[in-house]
Amino acid sequence: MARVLAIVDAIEFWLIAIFSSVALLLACLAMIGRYIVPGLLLDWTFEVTIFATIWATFIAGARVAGMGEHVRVDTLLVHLPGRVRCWLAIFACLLGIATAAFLFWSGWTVVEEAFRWDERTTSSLRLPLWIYYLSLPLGMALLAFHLLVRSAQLFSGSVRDDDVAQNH
Amino acid sequence: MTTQIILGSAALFGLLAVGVPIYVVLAGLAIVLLIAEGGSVGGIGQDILDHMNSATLLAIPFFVIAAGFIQGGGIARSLINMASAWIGRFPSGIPMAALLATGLFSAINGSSVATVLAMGTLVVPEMLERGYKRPFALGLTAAAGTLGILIPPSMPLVVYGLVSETSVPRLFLAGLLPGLLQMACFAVVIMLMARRQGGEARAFLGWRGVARANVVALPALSVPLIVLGGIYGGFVTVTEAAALSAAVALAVSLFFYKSLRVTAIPNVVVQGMSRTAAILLIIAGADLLADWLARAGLATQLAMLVTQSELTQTQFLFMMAGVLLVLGTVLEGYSIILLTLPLTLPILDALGIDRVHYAIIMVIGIELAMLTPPVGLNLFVMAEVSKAPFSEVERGMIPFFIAMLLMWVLVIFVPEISTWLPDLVLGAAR
Amino acid sequence: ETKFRISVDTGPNHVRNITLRTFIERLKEASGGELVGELFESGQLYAARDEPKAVARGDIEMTVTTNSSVAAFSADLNLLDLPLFSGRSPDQVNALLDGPLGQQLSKGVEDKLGVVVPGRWFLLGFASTFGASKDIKSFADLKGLRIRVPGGAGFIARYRALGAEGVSIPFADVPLALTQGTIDALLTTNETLRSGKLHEAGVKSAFVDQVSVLYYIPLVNKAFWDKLTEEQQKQFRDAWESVILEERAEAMRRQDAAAQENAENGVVIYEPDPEELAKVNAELLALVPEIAAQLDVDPATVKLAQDEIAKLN
Ligand code: NA
Ligand code: NA
Repeated sequence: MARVLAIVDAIEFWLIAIFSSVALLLACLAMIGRYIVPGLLLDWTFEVTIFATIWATFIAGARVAGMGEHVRVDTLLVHLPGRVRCWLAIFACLLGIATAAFLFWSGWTVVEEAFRWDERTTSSLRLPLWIYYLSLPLGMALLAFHLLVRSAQLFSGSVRDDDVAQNH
Repeated sequence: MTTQIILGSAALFGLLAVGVPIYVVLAGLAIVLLIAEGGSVGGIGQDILDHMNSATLLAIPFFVIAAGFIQGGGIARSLINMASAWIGRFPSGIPMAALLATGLFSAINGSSVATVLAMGTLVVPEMLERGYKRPFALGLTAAAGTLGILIPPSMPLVVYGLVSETSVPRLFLAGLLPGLLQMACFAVVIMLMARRQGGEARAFLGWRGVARANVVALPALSVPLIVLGGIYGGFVTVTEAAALSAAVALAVSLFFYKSLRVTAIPNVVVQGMSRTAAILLIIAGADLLADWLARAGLATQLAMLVTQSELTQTQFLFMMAGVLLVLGTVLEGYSIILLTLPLTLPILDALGIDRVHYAIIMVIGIELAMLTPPVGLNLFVMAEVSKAPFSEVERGMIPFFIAMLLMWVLVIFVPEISTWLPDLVLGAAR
Repeated sequence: ETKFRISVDTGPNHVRNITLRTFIERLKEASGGELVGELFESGQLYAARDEPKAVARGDIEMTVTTNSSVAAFSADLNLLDLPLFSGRSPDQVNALLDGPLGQQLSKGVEDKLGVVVPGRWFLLGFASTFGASKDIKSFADLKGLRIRVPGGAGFIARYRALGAEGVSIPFADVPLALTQGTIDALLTTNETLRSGKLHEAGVKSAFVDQVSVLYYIPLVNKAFWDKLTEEQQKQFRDAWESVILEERAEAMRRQDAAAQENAENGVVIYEPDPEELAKVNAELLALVPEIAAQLDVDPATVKLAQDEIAKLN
């Protein structure tokens, strides 16, 4: 199991790195291209940059959840005994899974509809928007996976809810 | 409707209190409310995707990645050393430098979240390293980050301009003096507090030391200079400035300070993206909740309540300030503008209140909204960046929050703070 | 009583909003208080780009949205960005869109999105090129300029043919980009220039080259429409038809008033030399097949448009 998680983590890491870098490079290309090759039709760089950024965002958001690092209000938590915190953390994971499951369904609907309506961007590339939209259901599937793993870990006691706060 | 509000608020506060991550609380609650309101399944996902498909949000990860390069690549260190050589003699020296840096950064981007994410990455570690207490460092940075939307450029002012038919350059000029005023207020707070917050006077290095620190910092100084020059020289748009700052910071770190190894680049990029993603998920949840409020017409009703009562100019402005504070507890910038401004405009005209003046009142209200619980984005950002408990950020922000409230009152009473500069440069508005 | 929500992204004073309120009133009256529209303004619910989908899904029942936001679904609407209509007056283009061409375009939207287009389109006005860094007095002055266009590769190709560079930056960036000289000019309408007070951002001249005429297309959710009785559908269509001519006249009046106000604010108006205008527009017509192919406009639609335009002459 640990091996699988490590592989998933590595894949996610490199996907985030690649998508973010592509976004940055394209944004710079658009800026420089305007001065070096003014005639070049680069009206599509902006939307591809957005596409890459949203993919990186959803993968990174899911990965952060796997580490239990999402921001929460801990004003009350710090006064609670470890066992109670653990159960509350599992409860939070389950709520998160329910939310992710709904948004997976919702995002999938959006992808389907964009496919059916053949929705496209306004640039000369006329990119299909389902490529952009697909980031939501896939990101949510990944999020649910991470939350499931984390609740199992909390349940078995292999991680503690306050691990994060103490690590940093 | 009343039942929905009571149940919704109870769920919001209850779930937040037991430590459910904020993005889950906001998104989950909004989904339930939207479905109850008759929203479609696809429409909810679409809302999230559409909100994220924007140039403003795009700039945020770029700025944060740039901040990562600046912090990890020796640029921040050399700049802080330079500042320290000049003003490290004073207990308030380093926080003052941090405040100044935040003001400068605010001049190259128009978002509060981008500012506080980048500055949280940059100046907080330096302040902690020099012995300042964590709540103070976090609170100062969370509050100073709001300058991002007051000092031009400012995205909320652009949206205000579009909705109210006011010229954006005029609004930007209007934000400048209040922005400087806010910095002055914060400077006073820092001077009053620094000594008790771990600020220590350091021995003066001598002028030779100052000169050397300056020389070492020269390449680092090129980063803000190139980006500022790029924007104000008309070479790049505000959106592009984010990418430019990342590129310049990377180049300077790699070629001048050589403290950043090429193999470390992916780490910096992924960390920057992860921080942004954690916040973007919260923003997505907050947007969904705002969408529900728009559909239910709640904010509109609240604003209507005030706009229909017969008030004098000042009474009206203070009532609206109250409305902004209340809405600001759960709503963020654009939603506040879109939900209240169209209703308010006719009253402004009837009472003879300058739209430019009201713009600044509104933007300060939005700044405060970034700091008020339960949904205060800047507080979340600081907790995310520093991995510190949320409660510490909240505690540290209070003195600065009070200073901003006092400034708000001043700005409400004295329209000239907002209108003098734009009227001077562009002539009085017609 | 049947309630329906209409969402638009313009403010209460916009001609589109004002006319919609009249429409709501007349429909309520005609239906004996049965059909009650509720207007959500200023983009509170949706940005223009997102309105067609919201109607198709039924998250709102109706919108009246820009032709470019509908073009994301129905590529044939990109036709309006082609140089085909350049230099035509709004009256002429109105006539084209009220005839077989407009009916075919509306039908295309209905088929593609599964919505109902209950009648003719609202007019916004014609878009021209406005200069900031230097005055644009003739087509020659366009050479080398960087010009902001509202979306659309069609406009970019047009400006490239004229020696200028079209850039599609977000509208929110426009005032600052003008102030700082990131762009030299922009393609927009007099009314947009006025409401954005863009003269304070440095716009100094208007070159009336009438690049394109812009419209708002009414979209109604199909499920909602099918729930109405035939009688109510007729009331709906009639109420809509009853405001069309008023809207178009008011839109034109506002564009003229805006042009005048802009002039008072120091924006100098340059009319292109009629002969040169005709010559340039004729040359641009040669680009039509290429751009149409790039934008996925059905050649049959282009052909229909050309035939209809030929009838005008
Ligand atoms: Na700013
Ligand atoms: Na708040």
